[in-house]
Amino acid sequence: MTREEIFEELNEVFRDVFDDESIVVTDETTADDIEDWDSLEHINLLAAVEQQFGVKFNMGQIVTLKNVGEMVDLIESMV
Amino acid sequence: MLTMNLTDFYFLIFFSIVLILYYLAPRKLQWGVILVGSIAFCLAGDHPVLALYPVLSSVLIYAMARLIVRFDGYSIKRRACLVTGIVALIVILVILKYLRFAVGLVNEDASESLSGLLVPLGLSYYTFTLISYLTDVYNGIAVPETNLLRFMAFGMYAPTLVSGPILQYRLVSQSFYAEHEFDPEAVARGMQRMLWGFFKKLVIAERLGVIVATVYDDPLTYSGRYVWLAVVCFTIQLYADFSGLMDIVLGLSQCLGIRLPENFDMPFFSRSIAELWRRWHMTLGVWFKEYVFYPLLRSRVHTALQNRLSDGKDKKAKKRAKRISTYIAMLVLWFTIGLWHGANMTFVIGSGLLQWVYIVLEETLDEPFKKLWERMGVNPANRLLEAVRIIRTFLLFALSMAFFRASSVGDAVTLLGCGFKSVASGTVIGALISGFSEQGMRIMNDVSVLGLTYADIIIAIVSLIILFAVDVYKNRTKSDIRDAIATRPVVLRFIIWFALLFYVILLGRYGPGYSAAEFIYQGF
Repeated sequence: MTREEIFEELNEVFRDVFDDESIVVTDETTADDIEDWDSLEHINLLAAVEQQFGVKFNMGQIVTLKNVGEMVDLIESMV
Repeated sequence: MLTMNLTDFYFLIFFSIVLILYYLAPRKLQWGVILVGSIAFCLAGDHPVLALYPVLSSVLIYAMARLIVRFDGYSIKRRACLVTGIVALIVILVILKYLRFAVGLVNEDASESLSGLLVPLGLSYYTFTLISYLTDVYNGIAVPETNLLRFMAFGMYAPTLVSGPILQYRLVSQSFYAEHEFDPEAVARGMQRMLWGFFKKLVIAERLGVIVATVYDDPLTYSGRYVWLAVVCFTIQLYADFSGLMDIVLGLSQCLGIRLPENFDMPFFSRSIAELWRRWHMTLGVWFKEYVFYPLLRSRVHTALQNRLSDGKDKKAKKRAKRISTYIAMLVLWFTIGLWHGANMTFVIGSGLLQWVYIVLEETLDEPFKKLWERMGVNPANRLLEAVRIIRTFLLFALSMAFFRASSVGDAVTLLGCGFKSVASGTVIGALISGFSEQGMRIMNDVSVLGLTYADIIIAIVSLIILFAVDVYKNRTKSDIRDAIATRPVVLRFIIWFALLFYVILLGRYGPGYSAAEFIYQGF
């Protein structure tokens, strides 16, 4: 899977979780950029990402992810 | 539980000695000065033997962390080390802090026989700091310390034993173990912050505490607006007390060159209770999020519950199921947070279950209100609505803190009930004005119905205005007022800091006459 493909699918997941069709994520996107992305939605988001890509994050990764770029790196290394 | 108080004169002398030794010591051994200082601090308590608790807990967690990294990621032994460490710490915590409470629920006489159990200083705080360390090592996001004594310097770092902040090794260790050169600027900044903490604690919190105690001890006499005044005063007292203590702890650490995490971010400017808890006792919130709430949400039990709730296939049903199961997980979370504050139903309700109710209400009412504003053509982010939200959040929080302060749930209910009775007597301000016109300055030393003299009430009000102004500045500019002062001419800086110093020395309530009250959060 290329990074572009991951981003494409990831955008779908974000739009679905946050109920907002206008979301476009980039490497630098963080929780501050998306209004509803709080600590609670973080877990829902990651569960949806795991389901989409068939991966499993561990707790260390979940609490240290800094932006979408790191999330993509992680997915890239796992799929 | 008794020990040197951080606002004690003796503590300041003790700290000065530590500070001098710290910068005289070889840079590689500065942590050693901290360790010796921390142990001395623990031994200075009434029961020196209690210092064994943090020492042994640190040793155990150190050993478990070293073992964890020996086993690979999927080994059962690795998990066993994590569980052993956490269970041991939790068992100690439960026995020392909660056993009496739990037994008392069933049998009051039996709970009396457990009253001899002594609790070491900082039990709840260092326990959480150590659990965080071990879990992070297990999760592979912290590298374990390989020198036991060095680790103990971190695990029982004395300033944080009094009431936090709760530390995360992975975020603090770099600054904690760095070689610190003496930097007069940093030491001056640290001392300025400590002074600000003393101002909050000694000038404001101690005075408000008198009003609060007067009314809470005798609510039947003080009905009506006096009750609400006391409820609000306690909330501000708690903030001034706890955040003031954090200013002292963080300022003191800054003098040593150590950066600790912030614990407060002007919580009373929050627009919702959920936001308030992200800005109040922040390190506790982060701890519960990372080590309780997230694991809970990702547990098999939670997934099973979610699946069970969403039998429908459509998206809406799934979302609703997710919401409900999250609320249930939050109930567990808030119950635990309440219990952490103390083994009493007042804490479970005040700093736990009520907060849960507030947050669930906020979540469920969010959508209907959004629709309402839309239909009325009102901008939901307009200034008036934002101000109303800030005031509402503060008042809801104050209401919950009435339970937190009361000695029993019954007392809290009685007190709040009295708030709805009318008062016959006049207002404090009315008494002040009429008394002043009749007797001139002499009335200033009279004790008002609030338990404080009129002079003290005026000092409290003036000090609160100063605190409010500084917090508004910080909230608006998102910057530290010390930076702004540092850019002023040296004479002005000198005047500002010395004015504050004399203000605290002259108007702070401390010393033998007052037997400086313990910090409110110290007992937890």
